[in-house]
Amino acid sequence: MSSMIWIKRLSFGLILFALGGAFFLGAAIAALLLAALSLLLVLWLLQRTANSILHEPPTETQRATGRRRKELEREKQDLLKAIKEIQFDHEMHKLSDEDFHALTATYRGRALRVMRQLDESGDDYRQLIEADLAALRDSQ
Amino acid sequence: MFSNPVADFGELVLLLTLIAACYAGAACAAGARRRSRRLIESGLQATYATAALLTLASSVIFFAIFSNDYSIKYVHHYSDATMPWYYQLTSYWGGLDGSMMFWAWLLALFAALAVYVNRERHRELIPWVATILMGVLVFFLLLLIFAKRPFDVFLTAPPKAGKGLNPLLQDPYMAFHPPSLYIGLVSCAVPFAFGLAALITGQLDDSWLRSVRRWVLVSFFFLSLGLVLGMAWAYHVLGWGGYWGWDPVENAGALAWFTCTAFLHSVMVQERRGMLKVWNVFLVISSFLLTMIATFLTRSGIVQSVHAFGSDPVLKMSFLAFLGVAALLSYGLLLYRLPLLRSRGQLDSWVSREFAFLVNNWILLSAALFILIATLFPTLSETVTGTRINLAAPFYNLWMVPIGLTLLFLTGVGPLIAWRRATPSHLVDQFAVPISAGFVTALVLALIPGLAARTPIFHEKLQLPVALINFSLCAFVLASIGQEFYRGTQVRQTHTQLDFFTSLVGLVVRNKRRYGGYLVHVAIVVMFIGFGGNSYKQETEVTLEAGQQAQLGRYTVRFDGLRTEETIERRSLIADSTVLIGGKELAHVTPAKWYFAHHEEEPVTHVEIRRGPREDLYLTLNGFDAQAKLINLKIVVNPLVNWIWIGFLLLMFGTVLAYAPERALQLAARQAKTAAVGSTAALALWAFTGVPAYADEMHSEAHEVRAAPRSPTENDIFHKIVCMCGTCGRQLLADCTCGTAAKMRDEISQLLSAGKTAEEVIAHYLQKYPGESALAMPIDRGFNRLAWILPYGALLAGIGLLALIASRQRRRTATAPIVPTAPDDLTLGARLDDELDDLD
Repeated sequence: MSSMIWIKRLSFGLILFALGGAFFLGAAIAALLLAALSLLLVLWLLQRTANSILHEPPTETQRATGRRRKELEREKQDLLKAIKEIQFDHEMHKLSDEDFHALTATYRGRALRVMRQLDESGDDYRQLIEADLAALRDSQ
Repeated sequence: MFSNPVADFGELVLLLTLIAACYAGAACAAGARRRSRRLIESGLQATYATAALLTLASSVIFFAIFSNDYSIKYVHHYSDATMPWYYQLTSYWGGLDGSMMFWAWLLALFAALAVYVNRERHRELIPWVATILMGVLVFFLLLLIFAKRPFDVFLTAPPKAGKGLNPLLQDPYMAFHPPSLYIGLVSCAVPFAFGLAALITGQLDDSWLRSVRRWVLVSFFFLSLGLVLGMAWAYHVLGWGGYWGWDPVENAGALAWFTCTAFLHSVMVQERRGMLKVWNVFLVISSFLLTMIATFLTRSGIVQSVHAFGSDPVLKMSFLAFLGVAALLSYGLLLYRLPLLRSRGQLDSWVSREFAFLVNNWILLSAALFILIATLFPTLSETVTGTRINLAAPFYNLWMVPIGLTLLFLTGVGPLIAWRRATPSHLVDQFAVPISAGFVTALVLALIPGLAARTPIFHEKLQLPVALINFSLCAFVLASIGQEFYRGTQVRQTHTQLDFFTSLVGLVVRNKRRYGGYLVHVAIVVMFIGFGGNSYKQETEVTLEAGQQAQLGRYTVRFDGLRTEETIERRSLIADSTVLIGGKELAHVTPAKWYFAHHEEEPVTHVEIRRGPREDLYLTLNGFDAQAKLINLKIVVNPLVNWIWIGFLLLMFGTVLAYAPERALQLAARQAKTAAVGSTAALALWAFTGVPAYADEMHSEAHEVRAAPRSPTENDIFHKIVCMCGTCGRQLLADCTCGTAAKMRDEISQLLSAGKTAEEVIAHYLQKYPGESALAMPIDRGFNRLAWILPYGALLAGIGLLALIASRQRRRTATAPIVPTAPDDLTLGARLDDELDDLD
């Protein structure tokens, strides 16, 4: 079992103990228990700080490409929302027909371009996910 | 020499935190530059460790407070065993040293949270975000270790008892107000760090804004909460009958609120139109710097306030140096990166939502600048002329009332105008109903006698029926938002074919940001209704013997007798009284003076408030003569005041709705089987009317009987001269409850009785005190003219700047290349249509 799970269990137990302490024994005991919990957390984090500098973290598999895809996905969502908002404003008579058609055409064009880019990077992305998952399994 | 292992341990933890913060910042910066993942990861872990270390340090001081360890000076000064545990807890931030530590703790927690949440999403930015936040934390830690030591101990035998928290702070609102305000102020550091990290890395696309927007919403929420809790505290504790007194410390807390509100609007323009990139970075930088200025003003002693922590030259110089370096670095970086911050979009029309947001941003920033300059003006005048020139509430109201009304108007206009361009026929279609609603309201109210009370704006000589305009604008805004909901629901109904209510719920859930924002706008309107009531406020001061009664409005107040009550915490002197309406007894009321243990010289006024949706009856025991059985009672009728608090509850709901994750709302909507934040908000907070922080130096209240104003002339003078006690923040004589104010009022009464005119009395005070320091508003001449010129100048400069930005953006329109649209691929086009349908 990983140390993280133990830390979580211990923290949870201490919080319960602190609350119980506050209720039954008074605020000073609760403060003392909070201090004990914080001290444990400090020791664990300092150990992780030292470990991180001593050991190379697991290899990052072409994260840049993955992020690029995420950005494209986000951009696509923004463009879709923008088109919906334009439709919404038009239907609420806040946009002239002329502006509505011009704006929609522009945003549709941009959305289609982004969708093409996403399609082109599709296979690589699946491989990336597989590679990331494999790396994660190895590290555990 | 006395030694205390708890204090030693606390100091050691602070020292370790400093080392960890320095390491975290340095490792992250070096890792980012050398692209070393080891260094970055180690730095991020150290960032988390600083949060844990400061939690440990805070736990140590909690332990010292709760175990009544008076060998620690801080505990002795601000806590006492006679206080209940929750007030002992609040003593953690009740003094200067503790408040700085609380600030640092919150900053470390926010830094850890911001890094943890965004470590994958913004991998390039995060090391720099951590570096910047750790840089700010190091500044506070240095102050805690070398200047303001919360673990400092007595070198001799420790005292047997504590002094206890200032009595004014022993109030439930004070248990929540400072933490709320601090969360709001400190959380502004995160958007600042993201903005700076984006400038450093050059990754200035819109992605960082998406993360930052939610943080700013958190800041906005907690700043609003802190400010409103402060107003509520001032209203029910200070006893002057109002809720916002333009005290320098109140003002300081509101500064960042304006820029956060401006950002929440302008970020929409960047997201939608790719414009205002420079402006948005400028706003996040400015918001942070304003929070630091607020901290500086409260703690350096540069301003005189009932809420300030007192004068401290070391803090003053330290904060000035930090502010200078931070401003130079951040604005310098912004200038350096200007070429990367070119707008994608352009301003197509002056009649567009973009332009409405530009105007809204300009007004919000002008409001912040005006308040900043006016708050610092007494210090500026003292530096230049040698005498302090005060700008009290009447001066602020001249400016902030019209600014508030303009923002209220824009709250209604913004939702009605479309992005890019609005045609005349569409404008008629959109504005017909709201404008009619505003006009009808104005006409109806104008027919009711007394509702068209005139109030000065911009200058004392320009008087307009401000309350009537306010209520008409409220009607205009409510109609515009109601129309938005109605038409939006109708549009959705045509798509979903569902009933009206289901479509309305679906509309809000699918567009929670837009409609949550509209709810915030409704909340602002409700608050403005409450502010409007201030124009019809009635007040009087009477001296009563037992059995005598006084009349105000529809209320009669009868004084029945004085009595005392004692508990462990305090001794109370109570003026038993009865409130009657039309001869019928309504309630037994008990306005009182409270004398807390160890603070007998600082009695606290216990205000009696009879609350109602129409008005509050507000009774303050200003003074008494126990031997003669006489009391001096201030009676105030505050119309509509409770709508401010109701409006705020609505504001909280709207903000949470706008913030809530879409999935959560969709889930809620499914389970029910049914189915533009920020604006202007609160100008509320300031528009007509506090953010009381708290303090270790307060003015001392009078308890002798004070004379009520005997004539309108006397009352008028009480509103033109300020209290000269030096610690109350130069409150008006009419409002201040301290001994100095009482003596000044007596003196004025005597002067008038001796046949002096109002002008001669004012001349007497001009002669008695240096310069015009006794006046609430400077005389419009010489150097003082600057106080008048600056706001007008800022107003004109803003208009000029706005016109310049708009015309530049419009020129760009003519030359902007037209982006060719790709021809619709039929299959891809069909997929796009499907995805668009899924969004319904």
